[in-house]
Amino acid sequence: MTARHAAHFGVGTTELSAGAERVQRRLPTIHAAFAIFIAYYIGAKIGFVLTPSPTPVSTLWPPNAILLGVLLVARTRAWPVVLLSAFLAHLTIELQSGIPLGMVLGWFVSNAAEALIGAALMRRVIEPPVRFDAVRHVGAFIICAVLIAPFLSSFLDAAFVALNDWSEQGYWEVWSARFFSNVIAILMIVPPIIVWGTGGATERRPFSFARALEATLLVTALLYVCTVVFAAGLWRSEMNPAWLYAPLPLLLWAAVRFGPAGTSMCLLIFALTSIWGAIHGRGPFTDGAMAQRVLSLQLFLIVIAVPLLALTAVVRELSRAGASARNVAGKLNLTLTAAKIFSWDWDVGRNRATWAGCARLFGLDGDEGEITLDRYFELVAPDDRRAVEASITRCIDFDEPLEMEYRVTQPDGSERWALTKGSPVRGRTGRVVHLIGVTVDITDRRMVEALAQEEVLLRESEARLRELADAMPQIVYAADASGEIDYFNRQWYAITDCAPAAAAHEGWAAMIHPADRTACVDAWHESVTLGRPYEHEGRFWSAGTRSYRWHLTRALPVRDESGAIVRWYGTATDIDDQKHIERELRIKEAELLASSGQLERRVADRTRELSAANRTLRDEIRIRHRTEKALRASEERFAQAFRASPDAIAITRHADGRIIEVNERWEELFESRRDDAIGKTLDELHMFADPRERRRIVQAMGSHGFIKDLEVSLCSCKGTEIRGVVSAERVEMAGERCVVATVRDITARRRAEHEIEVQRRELAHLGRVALLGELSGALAHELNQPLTAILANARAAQRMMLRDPLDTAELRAIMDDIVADDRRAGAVISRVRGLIRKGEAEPQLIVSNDVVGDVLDLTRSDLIQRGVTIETRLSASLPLVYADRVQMQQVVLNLMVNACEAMATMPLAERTLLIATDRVGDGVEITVTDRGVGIPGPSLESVFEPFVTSKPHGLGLGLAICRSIVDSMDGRMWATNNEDRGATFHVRLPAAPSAIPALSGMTA
Amino acid sequence: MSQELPIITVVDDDDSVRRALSRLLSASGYTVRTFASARELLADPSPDPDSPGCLLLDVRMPELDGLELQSILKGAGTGTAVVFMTGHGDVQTGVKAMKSGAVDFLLKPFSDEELLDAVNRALALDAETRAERRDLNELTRRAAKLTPREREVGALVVTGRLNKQIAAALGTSEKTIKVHRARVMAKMRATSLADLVRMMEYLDRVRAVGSPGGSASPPPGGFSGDLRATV
Repeated sequence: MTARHAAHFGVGTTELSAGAERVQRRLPTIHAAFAIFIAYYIGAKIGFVLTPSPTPVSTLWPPNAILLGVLLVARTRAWPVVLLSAFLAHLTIELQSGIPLGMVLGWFVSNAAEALIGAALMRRVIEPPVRFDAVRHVGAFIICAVLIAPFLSSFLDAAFVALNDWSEQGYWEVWSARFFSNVIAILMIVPPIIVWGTGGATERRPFSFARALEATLLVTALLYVCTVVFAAGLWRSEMNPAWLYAPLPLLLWAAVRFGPAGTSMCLLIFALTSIWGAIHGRGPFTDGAMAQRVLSLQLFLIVIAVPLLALTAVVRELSRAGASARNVAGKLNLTLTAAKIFSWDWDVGRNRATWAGCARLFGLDGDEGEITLDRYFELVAPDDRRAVEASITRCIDFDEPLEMEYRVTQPDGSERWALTKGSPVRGRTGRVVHLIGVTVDITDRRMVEALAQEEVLLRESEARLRELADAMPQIVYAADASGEIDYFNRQWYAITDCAPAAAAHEGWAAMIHPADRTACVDAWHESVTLGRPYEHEGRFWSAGTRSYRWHLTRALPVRDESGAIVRWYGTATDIDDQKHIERELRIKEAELLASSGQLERRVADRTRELSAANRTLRDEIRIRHRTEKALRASEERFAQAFRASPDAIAITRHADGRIIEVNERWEELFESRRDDAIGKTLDELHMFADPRERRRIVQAMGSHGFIKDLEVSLCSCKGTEIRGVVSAERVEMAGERCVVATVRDITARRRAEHEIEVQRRELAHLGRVALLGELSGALAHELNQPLTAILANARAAQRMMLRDPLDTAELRAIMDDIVADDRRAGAVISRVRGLIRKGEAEPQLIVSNDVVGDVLDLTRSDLIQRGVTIETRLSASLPLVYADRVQMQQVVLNLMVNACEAMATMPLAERTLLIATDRVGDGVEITVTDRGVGIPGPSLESVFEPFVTSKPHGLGLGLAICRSIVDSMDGRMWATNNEDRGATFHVRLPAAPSAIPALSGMTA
Repeated sequence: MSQELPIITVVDDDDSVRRALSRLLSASGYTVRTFASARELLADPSPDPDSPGCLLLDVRMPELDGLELQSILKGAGTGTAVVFMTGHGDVQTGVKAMKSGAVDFLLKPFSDEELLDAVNRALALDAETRAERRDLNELTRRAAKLTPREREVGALVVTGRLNKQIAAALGTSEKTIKVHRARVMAKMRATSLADLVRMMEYLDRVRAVGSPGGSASPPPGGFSGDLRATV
């Protein structure tokens, strides 16, 4: 009951023991209030029952004790509720009994005061929870609650009684009555309340049937005895008063065996029964007045109860101490066992040692035992025996603490390490009689130490490796098996200026150029997933240069024995410079080949093909090799382009003018093998047949620093003459200043041009010859006439000379005629010869009108034959023309012949030919006008084309040749149609002084 | 027949050639007259066309060349014996000239022998041509005297038919035929049948050709009887 309501007070768990924790719960205070109300009420009833009739004071007044007990058990915060509830119960009870209100209130005040004082004092002195298995608690209880509280409250109580005039007894009587009543109550009731309120026994013991039986037996016996002694009315005054103490053994039994719980219960039973008996006139306390009887009974109970409570507390404490000691001992053993330690005590005299703990190190099982010294030494490893013995001896002899580490041979032959520490114990005689100490299996410790050392070494090595990694100029990183990079060397941070924390969880990707980022990260993931070595190029942010620099990243996995990847290690090397080198190389290549258009195109193609990948491997040699290889490859292509060029290219060193390189075309053109040419100067190869050419080239090179399309004459190494177009430029190749010269062979072209010129002359000549051919009839006629005359004259003269007399006048006339005719013939012949001449053009200053006259002479008979009438209109003030006489004659002659032919179909009267010369600008214009059929409009230009002719048997070359002649004189020739009929051919030639006709360049 | 001295007519536009040729021919005993152009010749009141002589013409001349002149003269019936000369060696012209009946085609320069030879041949041809003409005239005169019937008979006689056959053909008697025949013989002054045949044939040929000479020249041996005698 009391325990239940105590449990309902919702006492905080911190204020109670662990056992009580389980029972205490926060319960609504109303329940608690109600419980105490009931308890108080019932307690009061019981108190009434135990009131001996004459006296107003109960022998044992439970309510106060209940209140005190509850206050002790409950939280301080709940006290007001408790008090209020008790008050209500008190009211109910006391008013029921018809006690005046004043008294009731007074009594409540004193009761409450008692309970409060007791509880407060207890709280002060003893930390809750109050336990009756501690001597200190019991002591405090006795003093504070049992003695002081009633002592003080009884004053109040008696005062109230006196105030209300309730009793006829004196103050002190009331006081003492109250005092003892309360003392007993508190003594008997509070312990049970507290013990059961705090969750029963503070010692947990498993329920055992024997114990329950014992308890039942005890209680039964006690009840019986108490009843018999005190309540059964069997007491006779002659009985031995010692029977009074009959319950005592049982109480002792309870105190010793059943702790505070049992003791308090038994005491309560004892008290209740004895009081009841006393009140009802049974038992030993029947002498004297009721008050006296009550007092002696109360004293008796007090004297029994207090020691018993103390005893039970002591017994509990002892038992606890014993248990605790055993606990400690047990824990110690456990510790020793766990730590593989055993303690030993060596009796020096008897050479025998006892040990306790774990001695498995020495092959001893169990928790304790004995071992002989010899056996001990057997177990010590042979190598350490001497040292062990020496240590022990030193310890005994010099009173030094013993401390030694040695090896112990195990049954399976392995060795374990032991550490033994001990100290000598001297006997009364001062000699060492015992050695005590502990021995520890330190094999693990040593292993741990060794491991620790290894770890230290490992750490050092790691630190060195880290230093190494940091010292490397490349970025070094490591990642776990999942690809999460967890280490970057110092270079990474130095280069990218990445915050240390930022690199984790692929934060390093932020250091990569956005364009490369995805590719790098994806490739990394792929490598990690597939377990393939990683190799990728990407641009990393370089904080130092504040730019992105190309890096080549390579990583390799590290596998364990099972082949699974445990770590990745990678490096990233700066290849930015290499990339720049390549780019510059490309630029240089393009510049180098700028001189040849075709070459440029091909090299541009090749350059585009040039691969941009330079792989750097861990050591720099491979990087260089790769760079070299790339250079060589591009060199190769350049070399191929160089070799395959259709123009001859030679590269000479600027410093000494020696040839460094020539291509195949050069070899062909200059008829020299490459090996023979390299290392020689151009002069040594005798390339300049003409020193003037050499000077020209040197001058051009000197003044401009380059040569562009300079036509020169050169000489091959075998002496073949070459006409070439030279371009040369200064370049820098591999740090050397060089000159790259290309020679385009135009020998053939020039030769062809020369051939053409020759052909043209031939053609012109043939044209002339053809013209002459056409005129041949007329020419023959021209010659035949004078010849005939000469012959006839001569023959006539011969006949005349036979006559007599001679007609000298006639003869003279004949001679004159002959001479004249001869001259005439000679002139014709020389003109013909002149036309037939196939020589080069010999330009001279020419009077155009004379040329016209010559041609007219030549064609006179032809014109007669054709029936053509000539009309001339020659200007008198013509400038001189610088031209070849014969070629001019050819042109005029051709035009006249053409004009005659154009008029061939005309009636005789219409065949008039007009030849005119005029001054036009600062030149001369010769026109030949016919009245023939004219030229069809579209053909005005095409008549000058070769193989265009209207003659059925003509070649059509005449006008073409004439035009080319006129062109070579820097003149113009064209045709126009006349208004009425016929065509006019115009030849315009520039005046002499400023007109030097362009000669063909071939001087050979 | 007046026995005149043959005149050689030289036409050449080249002055010195003309002069030289004139000298040469004169020195060789010929009579020469020269003209500078064909026009001059035609304008010249020439002597009797029947007078003997030959022409020495240069082919190539302005305005009117030698060949054209020859054809004009031939048309006029005067220039029969022509010797051409030329400074060109033109085959075409030469062939044309020869085809038109020139005696020779001399290429300048030619020697005097060549010239004189050609001239003589030309003169001979000229004389021959004249004689031929005279003969032809005579024969024609004689033939003109024949009556148509006599002509018929004559034509048949020369086919070698017997009088009997001719009579039968013509439907007359043989006697009449004989008479006609005799008359024809007498008029034609043929001495023999063969002679008559030759004459008739000649006349026929001439008629066919249109002019004497060439294929219409009298048969070799001429005709018996001296035709000249009747002139």
